[in-house]
Amino acid sequence: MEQFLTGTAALFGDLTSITIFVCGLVGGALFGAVPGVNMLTLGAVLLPFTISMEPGHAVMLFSVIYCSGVFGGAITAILFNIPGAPENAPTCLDGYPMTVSGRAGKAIGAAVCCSALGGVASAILMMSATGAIAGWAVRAFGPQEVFSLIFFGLVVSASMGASNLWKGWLSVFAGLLIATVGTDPVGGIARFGEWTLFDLHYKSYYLSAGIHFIPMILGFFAISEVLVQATNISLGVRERPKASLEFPSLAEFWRVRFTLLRSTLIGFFAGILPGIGATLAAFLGYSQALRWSRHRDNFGKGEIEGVVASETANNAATGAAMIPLLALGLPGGALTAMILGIFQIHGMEPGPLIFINSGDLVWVTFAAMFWANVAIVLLGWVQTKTVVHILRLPFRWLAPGILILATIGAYALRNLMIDVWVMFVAGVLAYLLRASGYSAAGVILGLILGKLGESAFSKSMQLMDYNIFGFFARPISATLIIFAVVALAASIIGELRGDRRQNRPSET
Amino acid sequence: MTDLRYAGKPVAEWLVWIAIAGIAYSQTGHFDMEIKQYAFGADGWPTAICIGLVLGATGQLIYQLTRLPRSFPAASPGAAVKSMKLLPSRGMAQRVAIFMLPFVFLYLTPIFGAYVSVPLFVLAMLILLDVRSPRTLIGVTAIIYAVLLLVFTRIFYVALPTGRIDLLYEFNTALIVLSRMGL
Repeated sequence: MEQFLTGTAALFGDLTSITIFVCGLVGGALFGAVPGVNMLTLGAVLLPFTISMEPGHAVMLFSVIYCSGVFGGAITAILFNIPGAPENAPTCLDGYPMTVSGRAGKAIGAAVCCSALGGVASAILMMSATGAIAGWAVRAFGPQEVFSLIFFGLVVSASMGASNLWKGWLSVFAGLLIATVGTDPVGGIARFGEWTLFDLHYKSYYLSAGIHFIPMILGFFAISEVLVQATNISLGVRERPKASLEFPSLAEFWRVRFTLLRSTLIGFFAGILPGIGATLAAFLGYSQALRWSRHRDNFGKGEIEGVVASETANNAATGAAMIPLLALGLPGGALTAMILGIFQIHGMEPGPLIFINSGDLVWVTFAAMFWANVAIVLLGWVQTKTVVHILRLPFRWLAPGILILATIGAYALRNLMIDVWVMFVAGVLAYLLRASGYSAAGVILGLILGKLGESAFSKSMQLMDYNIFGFFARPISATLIIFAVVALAASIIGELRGDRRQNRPSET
Repeated sequence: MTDLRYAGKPVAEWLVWIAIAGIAYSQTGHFDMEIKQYAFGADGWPTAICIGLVLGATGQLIYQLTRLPRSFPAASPGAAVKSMKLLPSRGMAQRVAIFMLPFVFLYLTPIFGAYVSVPLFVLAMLILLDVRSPRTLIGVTAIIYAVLLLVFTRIFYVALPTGRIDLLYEFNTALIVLSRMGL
């Protein structure tokens, strides 16, 4: 506690620190909200300037950007069905229907408070047990556990947003197939870069490099949504959502207390694992809320619990992602890798000794993340009272802006027009898939986890000498695989029972 | 008895998925070379996914076939009138244009440059979405253009395409220089 107070005092002790803190907070939220230019863009732009900054300020700036950046993407996900980052994709599933039904204020309010709560809880856990947790995570989590967790995540999230289980699985498989385009994770061999169809031969360097998930996400959510709404306008059936500023009540938060707790634990657990982090956390949080909720029939139609689950989980992952970085020097993602870079620029090496050699710096980081998550409530409250007014504008005015924003976001990624083509083609495909009851979120989940899953699977197979039962030789991977199989069986049985229940009245 | 006249859509969906899986699998021949340290090779994972797609599509087909309605509804004169109304009309042309416009924009952007094609695209999209007020058309286009210049070109330094036609290339680069003035 004393160290935390010392860190807090250092954080708010001088005007420069406070200015950097506020700039990081607002900048992260802003960049997180704009599709294509996420918190990584901001991090990349700012990284060179950290050389001339004090190490404490630099690390604090990036920690704050990390927390507010993950939260920022929720706003556009809720208001326009455009997730600012992959970890906000599940938020669209219920956040946007809430906006359509005139409850945007409640959705944003829930996202704000739950992001803050998840983040604060994760920061407290991070402060209390970084060393022990990091040591355990590295010993206990090998490729087998990572693959099992991804498998479990795919199984429990497969039917999310689809009209039935099979369409959910087909959506996930489509995403997994798209993820195989590009180099394979073991031999670096280019896949699907060359095509031969009916004696026609085609070679593409773009496909050899792989399809990036950002244009796909923009296409699947932003473009397809604009096409759906534009179609509704042309049919004369679109209703403008009401711009409500109502914040969720305490009773509503009390109703979702178990979802909050569950998503915090899921987020924290997933966040520790390198490379998985906030995205799987958000999908897992959402799918588990769907599984255990008493209001599961309302999911996908504007259930506040859906927003709470995904936003709590993705922010809970931020604190956890710092654990392997600080305690072992293992960055879990791109932004934590940048933080590692800052440490190295200033002549420090994260690892067990950092708590002894640079304890002050570590506690400034902890305090910054804690207070950044607290400040998200204030920032979010201001956003709830201001950003929601955008909904008062007719969609006809917003649609071209959304399309241009998405175009720039896709193009700015690698300065390639083909990324923009991919985005628009994905948008049209997503329009057709959504109209047929398939899940856009399922495709994106498969796409994001596909490469990670394949990499973990290939390493596992090499380690286990190609014995598939090796997954059952390790307790955590065995538990996860068994849970996944049980979840799969339960979902099939549930689907069949649902059918029988649905068919009964028509048969009589 | 279920009415098989409803089976067309599920079968078509199944065929699409099978075609996707089949084409993807047929292309794995381009990268099925042996990897020394990995027995499954680069094509093992995509092949497994193709099998998954076939299984999923078949499961979906069986699921949908077992849930087909038991009789085909008799066509009523009212329905015929309704379907006549749904035939190609202004609304249908508008929808086709909305879907096509982004691709025309993408084709023209590398030729004209983004600073020329963006306002044209915004104007065209607004008109397609039934915006007719000149004030709105100019206002919305101007705001989006201003954001493009001030936020993305000046602050984020996004290097948007500048076109291939001489005159337009010079116009595009002049705008970039202008928007970054003073930096």
